[in-house]
Amino acid sequence: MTLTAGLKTDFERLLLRFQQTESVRYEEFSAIWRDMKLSTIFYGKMGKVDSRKFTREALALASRYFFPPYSFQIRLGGLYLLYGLYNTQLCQPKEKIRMALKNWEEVLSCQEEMVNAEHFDAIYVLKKLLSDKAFHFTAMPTLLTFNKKRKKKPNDAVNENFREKSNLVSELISTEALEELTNVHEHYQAMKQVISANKTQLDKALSLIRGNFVSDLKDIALKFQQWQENKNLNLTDRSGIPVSEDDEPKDQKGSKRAQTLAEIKSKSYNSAVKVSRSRRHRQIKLESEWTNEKKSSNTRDLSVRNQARKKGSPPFKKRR
Amino acid sequence: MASGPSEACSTSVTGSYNAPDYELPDVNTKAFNVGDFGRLWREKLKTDLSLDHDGEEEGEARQQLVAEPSIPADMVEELQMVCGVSTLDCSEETPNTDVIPQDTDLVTLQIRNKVIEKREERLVCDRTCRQEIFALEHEMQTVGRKPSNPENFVPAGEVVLTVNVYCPVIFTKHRERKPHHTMLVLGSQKLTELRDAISCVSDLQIGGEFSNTPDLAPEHISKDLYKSAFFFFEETFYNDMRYSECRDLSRTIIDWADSHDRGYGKFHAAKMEDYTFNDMCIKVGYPYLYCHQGDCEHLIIITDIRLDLVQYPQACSYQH
Repeated sequence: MTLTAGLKTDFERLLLRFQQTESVRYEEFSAIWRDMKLSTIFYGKMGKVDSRKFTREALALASRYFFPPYSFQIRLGGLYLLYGLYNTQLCQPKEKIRMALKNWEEVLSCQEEMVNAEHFDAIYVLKKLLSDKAFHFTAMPTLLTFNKKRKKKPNDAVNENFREKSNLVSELISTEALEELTNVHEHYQAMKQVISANKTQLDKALSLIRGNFVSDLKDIALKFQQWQENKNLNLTDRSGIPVSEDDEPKDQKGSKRAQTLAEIKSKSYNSAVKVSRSRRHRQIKLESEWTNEKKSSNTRDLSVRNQARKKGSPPFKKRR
Repeated sequence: MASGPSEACSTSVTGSYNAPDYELPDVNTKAFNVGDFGRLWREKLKTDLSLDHDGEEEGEARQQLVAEPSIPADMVEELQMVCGVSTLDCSEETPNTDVIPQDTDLVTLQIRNKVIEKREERLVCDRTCRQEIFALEHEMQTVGRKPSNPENFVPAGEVVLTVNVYCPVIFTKHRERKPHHTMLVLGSQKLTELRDAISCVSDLQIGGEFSNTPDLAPEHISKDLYKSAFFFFEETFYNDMRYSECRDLSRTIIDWADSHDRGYGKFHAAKMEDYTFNDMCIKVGYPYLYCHQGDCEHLIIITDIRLDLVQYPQACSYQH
C-alpha cells in the first residue's frame, strides 16, 4: 500500500528515541512527538477516502507495537503512539482502533503491570482511550477477504531492538526439563538403594551428587524470574528521579543472586550425572568448548552420545 | 433434515470458549458462533466499562476518571494537564492541513510530497474505487443524526457484521475482486433481512415477449416471480421459504451430493427465516454463497465482526 510507505520507518524512529530515554513517562514521549512533529503525518492533499484508509492503516500499524513480543517500554510507547494518532487524526468522525478479542488478555495484563508499577500516566492514557470509545471490539485485527494471493508485507517484520529480551534461564529450565530431571533423579536414587548393601541407607561411596539438587534448581530459577520481574518494574518513577534508595538493595540483591546462581551452576553442572540403567547405552559426555547450536536432542544422533550444552544445562536426554 | 448451525459448530459452543483465531493466517478464521463471540466481549467489557455510557461531554468523562479506582483522586487534574490532547499539538496556529511542511523529517511526508508533485506534473489522478466513494458517502449521511422514531435505535452492545457481496464471477472481466455491495448487518437480524437488502440486476429482469406492445409497462419483474433463494454457510443451505411459491433450490444439490460417494460431507437444509446471525457459526474471511433466481450466484464474505458500544441509527443497517 503506497499510502503507508515510510510509516513504519517514522514510527520506529520515534520508538527508538523513546527507548533511548529509558523512561516510560508520557512527558518524554510527547516531547519527542512534538519534536518530530508527528501530527503532521496526516497532512497533504489526500482525498476523503484515502485519508480514511491511511488513518486506518496507521492505527493498525501502531497497535501492533502495543502487544507482545515487544518489551514493556515499547508497548507503553505503542500505547502513547495510538493515543497520539487517534487524537490528531483529521478524519471526522474519528476512525477507530481495532481491538481483537484474542489480544484483549494482553491488554489486561499490561494494565495490571501498569497499576502495580504505578505508572499513572499510562493508566490515564488507556482509560481515556477506552472512555472516548476509541476502540472497535472485533473478532480479528484486520478485515479478512480470503486473499490467498497475499504477499509477505514488509511491515510484518518485528524490529529486533524492540523485542522483549528473552529469558534464557526459563527457556532452559522449563517445566518439562524440571519434570524430567525429577524423574531421573528419583530413578537414580532408587537404583542406588537397590545396589547398596544396606537397604535402608545409601552407601557413602555412592553419594556423588547433592541430594536435593533438583529442588534447589527449581528455587533458583524461580528466584531469578522474580528478580527479573522486579527489575522491569524499576523504571524511572513519576518525578523523573532515577532508581530511588530502597530500590538499590534490590538491584544489589539481584546481582548477588545472579552470582550465586552462576556459582551453583558451575559447581553442579561440571560433573556429569550418571544415567539410569535403562539408558546406559547413552552415557553423558561433557563438552568443554562452548557451542551455540540448537539443542540437537531433536535430531537423531548416530554416535548415541549426548553432549552437555554451553550454558550448563542439565544433560538433555532424548526420549525414545 | 433441517438442522441448523449447531452441528457444524459443536467445538466452539462449549464452556471453554476461545477467541476467534486464524485458520489460515491473514486469510480466514476458524468457524465460531457469532452470538457467543458477542457475549464473550460483553462479559469482558462489563468489568471495565459501562455499556450504557453515552455522554460525550468533558465533565462526564472527567467524573468517570475520578471514579477510576487505580488513579488517586488528587492526580487526575495533574494527569489531565500532562497527558491532555494539547500536548500533541505540533504547531502554534491552526495549520493548513493540505500543505505539507517544507522542513519535515518524516519519511512518510517526503514520499507523499513526491507523489503529489508527480501527480501535478503529469496531471494524472489515481483511480479511486467507485464503490468505496459510495460507501463513504452513504456512511456520512447518517453521521450525527438521530432517527425520529426511537425504536429505530440499535441498542449498544450489538454485534455488527460487515458483509461483502460480490458480483457473479465473470472470469475474464472481473480480475479485481472488488465487492459489489458492502453491508453492515446486526447480529440480531434474520438472514432474510440480508437477503432482502441484496439487490442484483438479475432481479430486475423482465421475461417475455413485448415486441407488439413495447410501451406498455411490464407488470412483473423477476424479483416478484421467482422468490426462491438460499444462503450456503458451513455445510448448510438456508432456504427462503417465506412465500408459498418459494421452492427449495438446494434440494438438487443435496441429492446430487448424496447420490454417489463424491467425497462431500453431509449437507443440511434449513429455513432462512428461522435463524438470526447470532445463531450462526461462521468463519470470518471465508467465502460463502448466495443464490437466487435459480442460477444467479454471488459470493459472500463476512469480512469483520465487531461489537459496538455506540448507539447506531437503524438506517445505517446497510450501505452500498
